[in-house]
Amino acid sequence: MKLRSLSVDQFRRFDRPVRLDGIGDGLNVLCAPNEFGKSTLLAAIRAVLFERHNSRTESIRSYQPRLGSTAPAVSLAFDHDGASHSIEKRFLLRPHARLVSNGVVFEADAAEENLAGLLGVSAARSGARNAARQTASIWDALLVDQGQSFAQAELGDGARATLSACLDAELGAVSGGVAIARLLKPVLAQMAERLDGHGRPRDRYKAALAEVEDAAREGAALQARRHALEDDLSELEAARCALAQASDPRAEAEGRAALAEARRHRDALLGQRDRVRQANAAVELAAEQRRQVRAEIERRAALRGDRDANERALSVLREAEGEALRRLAEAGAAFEAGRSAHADAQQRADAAARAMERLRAQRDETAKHARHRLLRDRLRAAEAETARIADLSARIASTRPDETAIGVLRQLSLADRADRAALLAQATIMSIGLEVPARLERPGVSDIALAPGAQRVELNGPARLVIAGVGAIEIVPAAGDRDRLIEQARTSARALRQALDAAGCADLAEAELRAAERARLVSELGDARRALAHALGPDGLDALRAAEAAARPAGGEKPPPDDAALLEALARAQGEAEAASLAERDLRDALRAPEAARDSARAALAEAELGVRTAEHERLRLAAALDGAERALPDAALAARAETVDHAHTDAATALTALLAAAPEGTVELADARILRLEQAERNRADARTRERERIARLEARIAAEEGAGLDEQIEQAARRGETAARIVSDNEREIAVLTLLRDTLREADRAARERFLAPLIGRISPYLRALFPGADLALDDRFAVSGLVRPQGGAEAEAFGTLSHGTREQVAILARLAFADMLAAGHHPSFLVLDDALAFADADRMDRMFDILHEASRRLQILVLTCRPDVAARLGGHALTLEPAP
Amino acid sequence: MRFLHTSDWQIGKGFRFADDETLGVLQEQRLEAIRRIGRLAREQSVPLVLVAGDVWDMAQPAERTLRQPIECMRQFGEIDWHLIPGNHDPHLPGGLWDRQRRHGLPPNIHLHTTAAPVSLGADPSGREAWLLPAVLDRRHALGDPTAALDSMPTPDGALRIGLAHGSARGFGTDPDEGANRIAADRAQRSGLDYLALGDWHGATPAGPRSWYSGTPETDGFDRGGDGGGSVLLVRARSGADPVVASHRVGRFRWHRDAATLFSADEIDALDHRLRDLAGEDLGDALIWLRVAGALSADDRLRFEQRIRDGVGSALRALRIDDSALEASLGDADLGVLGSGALRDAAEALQIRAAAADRIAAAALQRLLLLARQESGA
Repeated sequence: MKLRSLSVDQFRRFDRPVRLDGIGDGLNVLCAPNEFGKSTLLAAIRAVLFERHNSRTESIRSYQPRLGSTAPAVSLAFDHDGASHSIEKRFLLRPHARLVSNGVVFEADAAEENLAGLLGVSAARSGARNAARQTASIWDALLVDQGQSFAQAELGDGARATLSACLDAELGAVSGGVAIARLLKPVLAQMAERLDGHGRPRDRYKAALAEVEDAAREGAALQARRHALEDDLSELEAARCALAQASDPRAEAEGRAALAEARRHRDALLGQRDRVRQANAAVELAAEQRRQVRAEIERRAALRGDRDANERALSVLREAEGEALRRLAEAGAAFEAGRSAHADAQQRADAAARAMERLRAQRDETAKHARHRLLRDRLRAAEAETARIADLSARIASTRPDETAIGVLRQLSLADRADRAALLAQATIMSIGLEVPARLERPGVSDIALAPGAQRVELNGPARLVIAGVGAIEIVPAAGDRDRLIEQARTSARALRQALDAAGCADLAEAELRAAERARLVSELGDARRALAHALGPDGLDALRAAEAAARPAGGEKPPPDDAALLEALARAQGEAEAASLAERDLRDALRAPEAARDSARAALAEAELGVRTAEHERLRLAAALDGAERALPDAALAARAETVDHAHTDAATALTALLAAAPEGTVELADARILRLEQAERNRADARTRERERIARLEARIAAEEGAGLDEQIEQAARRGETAARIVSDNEREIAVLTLLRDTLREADRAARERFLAPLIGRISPYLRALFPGADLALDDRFAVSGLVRPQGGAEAEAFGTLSHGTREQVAILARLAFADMLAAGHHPSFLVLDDALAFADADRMDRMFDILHEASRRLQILVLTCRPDVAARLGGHALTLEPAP
Repeated sequence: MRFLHTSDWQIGKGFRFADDETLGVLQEQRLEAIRRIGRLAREQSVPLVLVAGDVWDMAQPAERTLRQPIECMRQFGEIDWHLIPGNHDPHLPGGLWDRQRRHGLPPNIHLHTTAAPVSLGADPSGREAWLLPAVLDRRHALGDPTAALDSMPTPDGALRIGLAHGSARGFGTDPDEGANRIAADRAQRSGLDYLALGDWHGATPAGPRSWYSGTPETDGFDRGGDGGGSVLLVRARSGADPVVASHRVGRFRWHRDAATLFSADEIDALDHRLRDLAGEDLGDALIWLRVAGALSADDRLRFEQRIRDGVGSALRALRIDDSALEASLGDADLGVLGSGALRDAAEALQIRAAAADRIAAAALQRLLLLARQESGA
């Protein structure tokens, strides 16, 4: 289809007729400034081709230049399929349409229908009410308004059908895509009956799911009630059994009988216990008697045995007594002989001892005299020393100064000397060389007579040198504290003097001499005292005097005897005494054996005598005991009694055994426990009756309330309800699975088919695309829209159309439109492309490439480019159009 | 001594597979069967009906369910009805039998809940007859519930008729096999002239002088024996085998059937067969049909129309298991599918269906039907 010329009058901004003429086959460019009316021209093409002339829609009314009563009119001349056509339309005011097609004229509706047929749109069929929808065809994609070039063409059903038809024609086969779309509709509808938009169960399916759960809940609740009822029923049965048991008169009677029997039994046990106790006592008594009798018999036998033994022992003891007497006599004789010899020896030893004692006394007397002499000498020495001490003490006392005084004197002398030296040091030295005598007068002090010649005088105070015949010279020393020194020297000299006077000495030398004398006397007194102490000894004079007096011999002092002779005699006497003593000791030792023999014999005799006495006493006791026993109960009677007692014991034991053997079972304690238990059991039965009656009443009430409900039937109904719902659920699940699978399979088949089907369209776009984006691929969706762009630099990932830049989006969208137009043209469908102010965002390089592409396409396709940019128009080339006033 | 022997009335039974309407009819007919038994007794001048357990289907029926069979029997006051508990309605303390007693019973209805011989009076010939009931006092009693019959005394020369509920042979699938087991030679051991048994729902002899009467109204597919639906008219003879005759009283017939379908002809043949099987009154027949094979879309539509919708509407109930019935791609289907994507989809589903994918098979079926409808539209 090729446009040839366009005339417009009273159409929006064109209130005068204009004409676009000389439109070429290929690329045509109309360059005009903004507000010129380029877009109005595109609207005019749209109007004349697609709006019905007699339509009065809003958009048609908008064609009028201003609100007024003009009639917008458009006429278009075009070639198609080797024929020339022209269409004129006048809108609103006396609307009219006229199509001249290959010389044949169609007017009004006929013109519209023929035009629609030429254009391949279904204007006539879908009615005139909405012209805009009628144009919602592939032409929307081809007539690109200003500002619309960025978006992809929105293809309606008609447009897609047109494209599909082209593709089908190109493939030479039916894709089946339409059939699948038709089949999918009921499939999806059926799914939608079961699942909502979010894939969740709905309506009957949902209700069935809820029903399954509800029925299960109800079933479980009913089962619980059923179990409770069963429990109640079995408890009721148990309660009735228990009540029957508790109310059983036989059990009652048995209980009472058992209780009576238990009480009887306890009484029997108590009687038995007493009888056993008595029998036990009898047995014990008999045993005791038997034991006593047997003890008596044994005692008598023992007494007799003892008596016999006693007699035997007595004869043995008497023999021993005789033997002891004999041995004592012998020992006594031997002892007496020894004792007489010993007595003689003792007398001799005594005599020797007395002789020695006498000599020893004599010698003691001698020693006493010697001792007295010694004491007397010491006493005399003591008295002499005492006298000397007194003398020395007196002399010491009269000798001064003593140690202390001489110390003081020495100090005073030292001080005097020092004071005087100090005075001298302060003194005015007066050296005088007089040829005549003179006199030095010193107030307060003695005058000094000065002889002629050189002399030195020390002046401590004012002086007056008087030289007879010459006169007198006053001398006053200048010393500051001379007066104090003079006073001090005077004081110390006075103190020394007083001390010397007190000691009675003229000067210190004399005092020193006297002090030395006194020290010598003191030393001598010490010697005398030591000598006295030596003579006195430790006890003092009185003790010495007493000792001397005590030691003074009675007969007065005698001359000392011959001590040596005395000593000799004493030694002799001592030897004799020792010999006598030894002899006496030997004899005494010899006496010891016979004495021991005599003592032993005497002891044996005493023992024998004691034994005999004891045995005799025992014999008497035994005899008395036996006699007493026999008298109390003769042996024969005792024997008889023993037999009797034995029998009694045996009888008592037998009776006890028999009693024990015949004893009732159990113990009194057990019997008491049994009675308690039976009484308790009776009470328990009564309690149980009350309790069970209450329990039965309670259970019966509960059961009566529940059993009529027919729980088993309700359970069955709930189960049936659940199963029915579960069947519906399962049917739905299966149905959904089937439908889902069918839907997915259909879609997949459709997708695969479409992939094959779209291949030619993609094949048309690809060369354009790659001219712009080398190596790029694109994907189309089922509405023929570009869904993604795959570029080598972008990796294998497709870039979604919406993420592309504005410029790229516009370029890709124009390429798609170009491909659609190309494809229509190839299929001999009417087709041309109008771009109004497109490619605004393209950079220079892309723009050039787009221009190349448009040029290339324009070899097969008429393209009309409207632009406001002269530079674009200049670079694009093509056939330049101008709009001119219509003639 | 002549009497009717019946059992397993299972009043109150729920049929979970059935829809509500069918359920109501099935339950009502179980009560109606009692009346038919009563009428049969009248016709046959039999004054005695022995019911061998499972009168009720459950131990705790609703009040109405409990009273309904009693009311049915009350209508036949000249006939004595003797009932014992079964495993479905055992005699539990405080259970339905006690409830029944508390309600009071008409004098012609006798409940036996203690294992003690009961005189049935004398037959017209003057021979005395005694009933020896076995009582189940729990659902699954261990041991033989009829063991007590051995030692039940009856007067010399009297007929001894046992009445018991339990399994003399055991059902292979019974999970409680071993419970309520009745010795096969119980009649001999206990010196019975007839042992009337209940539990098995199809009438069948169960040893010398022992019979299961079966349920009077069949309640399931494949019930064994004669399939149920009858009562036994018994003439017990002292010291001789009884004379037993079966009388049909049931209304419904339950059938199982199977078919393999590949063509329209076979569908037509199945249609005829099912109608023949159901007999004259299709409304009294319940059929469980299992179909296998493979059908084209047209044939599948035919099957749905002729069998499921046609025969199914005529029958009381038709259960169809078509899980083994597959779809085949006939020439017509191929034509409808064309050569495009639809064909591809069908082929993809067919491949999966061939690998025993039931969902895929169903999806293919659906696809063909939809395509067929679309092409027809």
